[in-house]
Amino acid sequence: MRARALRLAALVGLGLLAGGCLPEAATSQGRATNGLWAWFIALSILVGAVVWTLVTLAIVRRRREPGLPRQIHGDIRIEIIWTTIPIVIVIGLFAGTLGTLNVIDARSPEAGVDVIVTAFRWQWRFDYPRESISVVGTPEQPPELVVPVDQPVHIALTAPAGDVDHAFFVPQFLFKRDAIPGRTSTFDFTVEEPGTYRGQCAEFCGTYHAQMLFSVRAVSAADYQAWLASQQAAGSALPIGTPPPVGPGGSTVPSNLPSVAPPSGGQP
Amino acid sequence: MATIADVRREPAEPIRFDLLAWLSTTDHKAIGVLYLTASGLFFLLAGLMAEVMRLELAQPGMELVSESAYNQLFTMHGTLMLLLFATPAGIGFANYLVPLQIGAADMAFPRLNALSFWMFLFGGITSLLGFASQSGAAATGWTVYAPLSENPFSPGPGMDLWIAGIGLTGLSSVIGAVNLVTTIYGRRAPGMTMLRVPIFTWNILVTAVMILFAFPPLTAALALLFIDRHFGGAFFNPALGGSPILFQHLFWFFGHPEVYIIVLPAFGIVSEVFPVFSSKPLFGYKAVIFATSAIAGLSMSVWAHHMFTTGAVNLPFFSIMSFLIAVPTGIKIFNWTATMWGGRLRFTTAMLFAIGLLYVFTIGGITGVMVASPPLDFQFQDTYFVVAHFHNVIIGGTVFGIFSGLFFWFPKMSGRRLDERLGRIAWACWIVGFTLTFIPQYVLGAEGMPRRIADYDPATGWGSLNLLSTAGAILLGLGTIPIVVAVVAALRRPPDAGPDPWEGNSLEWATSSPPPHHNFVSLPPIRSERPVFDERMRRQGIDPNTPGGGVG
Amino acid sequence: MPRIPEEIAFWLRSAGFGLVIGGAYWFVTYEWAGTILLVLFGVASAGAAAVLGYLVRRRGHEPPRGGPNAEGPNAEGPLGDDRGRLPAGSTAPFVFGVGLFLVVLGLAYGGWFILAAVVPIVLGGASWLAAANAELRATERSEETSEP
Repeated sequence: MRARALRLAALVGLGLLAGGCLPEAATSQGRATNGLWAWFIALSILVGAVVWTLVTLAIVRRRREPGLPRQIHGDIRIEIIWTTIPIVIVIGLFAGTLGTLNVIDARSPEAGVDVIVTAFRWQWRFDYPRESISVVGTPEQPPELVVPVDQPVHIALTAPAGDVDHAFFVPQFLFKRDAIPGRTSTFDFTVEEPGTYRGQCAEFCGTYHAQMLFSVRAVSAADYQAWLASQQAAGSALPIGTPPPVGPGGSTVPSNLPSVAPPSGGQP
Repeated sequence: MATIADVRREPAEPIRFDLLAWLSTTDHKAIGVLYLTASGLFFLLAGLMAEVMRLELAQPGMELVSESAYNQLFTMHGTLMLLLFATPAGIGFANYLVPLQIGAADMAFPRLNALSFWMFLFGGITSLLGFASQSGAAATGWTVYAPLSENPFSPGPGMDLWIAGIGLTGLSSVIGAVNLVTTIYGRRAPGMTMLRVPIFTWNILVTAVMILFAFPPLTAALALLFIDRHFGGAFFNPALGGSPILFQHLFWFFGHPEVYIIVLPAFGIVSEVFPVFSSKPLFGYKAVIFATSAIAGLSMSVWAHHMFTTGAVNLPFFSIMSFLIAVPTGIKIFNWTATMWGGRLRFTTAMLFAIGLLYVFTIGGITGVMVASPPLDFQFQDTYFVVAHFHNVIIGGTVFGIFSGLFFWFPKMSGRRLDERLGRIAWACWIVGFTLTFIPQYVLGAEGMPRRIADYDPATGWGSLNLLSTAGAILLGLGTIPIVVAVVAALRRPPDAGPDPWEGNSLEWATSSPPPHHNFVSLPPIRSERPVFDERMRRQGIDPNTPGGGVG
Repeated sequence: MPRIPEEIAFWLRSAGFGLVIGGAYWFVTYEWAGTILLVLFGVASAGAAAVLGYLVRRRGHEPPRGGPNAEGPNAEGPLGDDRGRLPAGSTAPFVFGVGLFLVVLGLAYGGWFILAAVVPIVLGGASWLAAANAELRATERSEETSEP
């Protein structure tokens, strides 16, 4: 019995660990998710504790005398209770979910920064249409998406029609979105904490999926302007529409990027 | 007429292997054994693949296999575990037990039953043959998402073998489901009303109906994919106006019910095990039937929660439906707990695995509610959090249920009990191994480790938790050995079980172990869902149907 | 009006669920692939209920054997399928299965496999029919001898 209790405590501890391990979000959208997560983890621990306690009590308080226990076939009142309470809980969780979803899906009317993100096997390309800058990574040097802090970044995410599904995932933004060939998906994020955030493809896309990395570097507005200037001055920026270099394994590289309209703020 | 039953009825002899008898059998019991054996072998093979993957991931850096081999391994691990182990294992138990539980002599269509087994086996072998081809087996993940599974990205016969083999296995499931529904509807013994049908058989009925609705969309998706690959189709090719999203809709309209197709038989198994080893009836028999049906219905309408991050599906609709499915699942867990409440518990291995299911599946159910919330899913989708969640559900639900069922019904199938001590060792390994393997994976996923990656950057700091997870996986592998040993050892011993080793409730315990070809010599009267229990009470001079149901 | 047997009610509930959820899904999402799948799920369930209902009606409101109303001392008749005969062992399903195996290999490796598959499919199919016929004749014979 003591061993069982210890095991229980260990599992609960590990569960709490898992709860504490959701990264502190770097974006304003992600902070909303952090808030929702707190509710989920609290209710989960409560529900889990109730169920485990009931099961453990049923084992501990079993009938030890010989003879047949009382044959109880059921009880409609208790069925109604344990049907209603979970319904109330999930409706509450659903309400919280909807509220958070509105924050994450909201589009900022501010101009901010527009970036067209193109995912292809096995590389990323970040186009800044307003500034005519384009960043593509190489297998040795994953690309960096440079954005200013505290300004909304409007992303238009796509994959070329001749490619496969990918997903844009930055763990510390608590967000990912699939890049599906022939579709353009738009979303906003506003980074609040300057820093470099690791990102990678999260939808399996073939042999070198694990190496399809990128990072997001959030800098102050002044540094962002300086970066833009340096990119334009260096002339290293590719004009929009230039095919990126071939990825590892001779991947199909988009020669004709889909004509993506630059995302405009406030548009759904 | 030398039937397999005659061969198997020799009591004192060790079970003889007669190839022709097995190839030509139409006996539902022998076919059930074939299903369970074949799916057990696929389980061991897929488990080995998992061990190789876990060893590769134990440390950063590519050490054991290449990226391409790793991708084939996780594809075939998922394929084997879901489609060639979990699904047919449920069908195997159903094949063996449904006719016995309803008091029938065989399935409605015995020859068709044999055909569906051979289709499943050959389909499974076909999907594995890709390993023998030069370009390797399919390497798209078991979800075979188009366009990745289209010709430019997955050339070579491996992908075609997967499509054709799994297509054949899917057809075999549909044939098996038709057979099961017909059997349950048309072959019940007199007195066996629908509301006296044992709860396992009820779960199988619902499972079979789900197979009927879930597998055809998969077959359609695979056929369209095949046309795309070889006959110039463009169903899923966006460059020519096709839709990758359509593939995901078709796949998950199959894929989500599939999760319940593999877990409901296991729920049925523990719904039989709890009452027997608590010496009480199942608490809320009708509530459990209702919950089973509600799970099935809801599971048909939650498929796009696998597509939250596509940005192409309605989030609130699929979110609320997915949340709601937790309610009937909770009803089942509460009813099982109430079944044990105040009972005289016997901690056999079958019961231990059922209790393990209660503890472990509960975590999986709770994390399932988490991923049903789109904002949280935006973080968890395609990470190790989801990997941990579905292994939690499938191991904690299906595998524990199947192990429980194996220890419970092996004496019926062979006349021999499995060694309880080996069973307890296996149980301990699986409980500890499960915790060690998958709790770290929840943490890794929350931190953002994507699934289906062969390697990761040491700078991520994921190394130590991956090492812990690998250690757990090795323990799971070791924990499988006692079960295999117990089965082999039991088959080498003389029979020791007798017709009713556990004091069971349903009709399979009213005949010899193993049962004769015709299953029953005579049947007890069927007045409740526990005819054998009623008969035992009647022999002791107690009327089990006294008003109020109180006995003793 | 007799109570609807549980066998049929099961499909009616399934049909109702599919149609209601399918309708709701359409008006919430206007997404056609899922709508078609859900509505067809409902329609197919309704079809199953209709067929079963027709079969019950044709038997004059008599539910299937061992049906929901089997009660009382006469409920314990002979086993539900004592008149049916258990088929003898037959390799037909295995041979037929080998044929299908060759067909799916042919899908991956080309037409020759499919050509080769004709042999086991024909052999398996023929022996399947022969076994079924033999069983039917045996059943008829035993009914002739057993009926007074």
